[in-house]
Amino acid sequence: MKRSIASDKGRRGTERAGARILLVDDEHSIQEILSLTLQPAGYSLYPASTGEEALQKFKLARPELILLDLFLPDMDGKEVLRRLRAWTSTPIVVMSVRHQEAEKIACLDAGADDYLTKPFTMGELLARLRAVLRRAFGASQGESFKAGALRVDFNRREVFVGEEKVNLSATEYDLLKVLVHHAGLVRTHHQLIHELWGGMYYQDSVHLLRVTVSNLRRKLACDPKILRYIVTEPGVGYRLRTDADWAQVRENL
Amino acid sequence: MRRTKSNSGRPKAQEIERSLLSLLRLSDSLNSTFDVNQLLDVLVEQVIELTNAESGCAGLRTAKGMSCSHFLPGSGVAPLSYDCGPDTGWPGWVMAHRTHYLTNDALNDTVIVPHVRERFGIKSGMCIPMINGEKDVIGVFEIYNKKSSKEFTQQDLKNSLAAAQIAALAIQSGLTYKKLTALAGFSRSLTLAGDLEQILEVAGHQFETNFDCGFVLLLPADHGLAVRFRTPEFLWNDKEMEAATWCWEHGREAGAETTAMPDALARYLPLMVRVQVIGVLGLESSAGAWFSTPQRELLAGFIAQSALAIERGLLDQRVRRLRFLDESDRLQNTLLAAISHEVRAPIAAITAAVSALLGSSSPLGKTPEHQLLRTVEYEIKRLHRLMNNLLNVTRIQAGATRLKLEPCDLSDVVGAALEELGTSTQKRQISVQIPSDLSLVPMDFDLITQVLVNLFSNAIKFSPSDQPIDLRARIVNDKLEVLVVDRGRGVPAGDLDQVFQKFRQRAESSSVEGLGLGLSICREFVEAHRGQIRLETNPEGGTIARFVLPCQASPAVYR
Repeated sequence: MKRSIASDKGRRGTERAGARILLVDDEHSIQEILSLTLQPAGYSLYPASTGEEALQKFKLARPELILLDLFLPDMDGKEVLRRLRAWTSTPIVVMSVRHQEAEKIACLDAGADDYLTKPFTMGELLARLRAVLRRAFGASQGESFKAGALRVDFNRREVFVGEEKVNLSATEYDLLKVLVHHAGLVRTHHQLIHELWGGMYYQDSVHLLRVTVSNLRRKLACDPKILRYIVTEPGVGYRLRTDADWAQVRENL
Repeated sequence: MRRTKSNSGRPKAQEIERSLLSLLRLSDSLNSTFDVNQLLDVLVEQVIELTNAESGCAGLRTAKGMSCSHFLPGSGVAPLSYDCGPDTGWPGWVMAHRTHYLTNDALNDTVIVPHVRERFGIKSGMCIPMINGEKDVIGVFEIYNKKSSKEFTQQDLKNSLAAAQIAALAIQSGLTYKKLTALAGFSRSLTLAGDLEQILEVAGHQFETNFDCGFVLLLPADHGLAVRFRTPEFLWNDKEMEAATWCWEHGREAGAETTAMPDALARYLPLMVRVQVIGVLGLESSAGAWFSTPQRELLAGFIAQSALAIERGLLDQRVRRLRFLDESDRLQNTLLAAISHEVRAPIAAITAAVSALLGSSSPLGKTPEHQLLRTVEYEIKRLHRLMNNLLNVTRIQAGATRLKLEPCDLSDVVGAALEELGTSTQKRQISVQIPSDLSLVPMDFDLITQVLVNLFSNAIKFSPSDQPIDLRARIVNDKLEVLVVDRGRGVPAGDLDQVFQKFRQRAESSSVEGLGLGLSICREFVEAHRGQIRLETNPEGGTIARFVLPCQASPAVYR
């Protein structure tokens, strides 16, 4: 079932009312489409077409979220990201095309909160904005999490798929917890390894992470068409689907 | 052989003095020049004077034998060059036996060539070899009496042999000098030669003038050797090619008068640079007349110089080709980047706009507008996928990108493929059978996702919507085998291989969107993983697409 964008906000109510978004993209069409769609959804949009303009507008608009395209006419998007991060912790979502894993990782390492691969649908964009804003502005860690048939009860350290209780190892549970904590957002291999084992980043630890993810997935698997709760971002890391995300994908399949 | 034993007793003191003075004069004149031609002229002149003879001639060793080309000027003999093989005429005999020849009865002599004798009217004569330090005959001179019936005495012979010894030294120096200047000239002209073609031409011309024999120059080509320069008279056939090829393969001499392929008419020498054979030089020579040591030294020098120059030419050619490739690569990458950005921007805008429209329309709306937007969404997705696939194929073919191999969970990849197909899998029964203990297999997540998307969408397109589609996977012989099985109308057995040809599509299915492009893209991606893909006929009706990927990434592709 499709949700209307306007009613979406009201229904979920998790994003801050009228969040101000600085949109940095030199594509006029994208600016137009996003302002036509994000404003009715309750966001205020401040468009900028160049890196310089973005840095100036940031001071004036004081946005709560920045959508930053990496391909800008005057400077590299990564440079804009670095300069912004020098004096603000405002959430930044980077927009880029496929096949730029190295760029994506570099951005996440440089402080981007997430990225969005072009082309994206409005549904994906809204889901991402919600996830980033929720994470940044304090929706505190709830006592439970739900996405599709997956349910996590943090108080009791219990995980269910449908009615069935799933037995996870300590590492698997920790991994799921970290992913839930950042639900809807990408976590890089590096970040996950650090969060799970706190240690150094070795090629071996990436493999250990892959195996852990693989095992966790297998335990959470329920759908014959392989609906994934944990989505691979090739070459970058993993992302846990939110409930809304899950519903959307499920509808399409 | 008539070496006269007759003698005229002890020479008189004046005679000895005259001989000594003559030899000293000869020595003086021989010391005054390096010009071998002048040396030979002076030599003949002085020996004639020493022996009171009437005329004479001299010659130098060549690849073909002995070339007599120096006749005493004004001797009344029309200049005539004649070449003697190893056993022709006096020079040939002398060369073969390395000693002198004397006859006082030329008319009945069997060694002297009859037409030479008749033409010159020779009655008596001597042929003296000039022998260098390596005991090689480097030249000969002949002294004749034609009109008078004066016989040559032992003293004449001694004087001539003494003159030959003095001359041999001077001529050896002259030849060395000539060799040096020839090599220097050769180096200079090779340096001036620009590209490989010019180098070959210069080398060919220099060989021709310095060695006076037919020759052929071969360089490696796509399949074996190819003739790059050949003098017109050089006889070229399969046997010669065989000898040249042997020489190239073994890096040792072959052909005439060697142990390898001695039937060939020419001798083949490897052109070596360091330890590498870069080509072969074939020199034509008549039997038994292989080069004298100084000639061989010169030849070695020439060969070494040519080999270096040819290598330079080849390297130059390669550098130029690489530069060209580099430039076309850069152009292609720039084009790729431009295309991918220019095409992606509108696709991104359309995707965002259509999804916004779809999202804001009535949730229950199965209105025509909604349906049309769905179609637009589907088609723009397809266009985007096609563009990504084509860019990937081009990048892989151009070597611009390497695979991003990482151990992947196949069910994860299958999930990504099904999600990407999205609504087009709706209502289809797709069963996925992956063993739960299947290990992680190295692959490029995006590319294999695309392979599965293409295979699934073919299966969806070419089978009735009430028929199930299966994905089965297993490990066989340390390889991951994946099958996408449909129960459609199948592909005619004869076309099972051909459908992988680029842009090919079965004639009868032209109403359905292209099968060939999707499959040829699949093949590119799978083969980039060093895997294989093929189509088979499903015994239960329909088609099985089967691909295998190695479970161990080879070091060459694994980063």
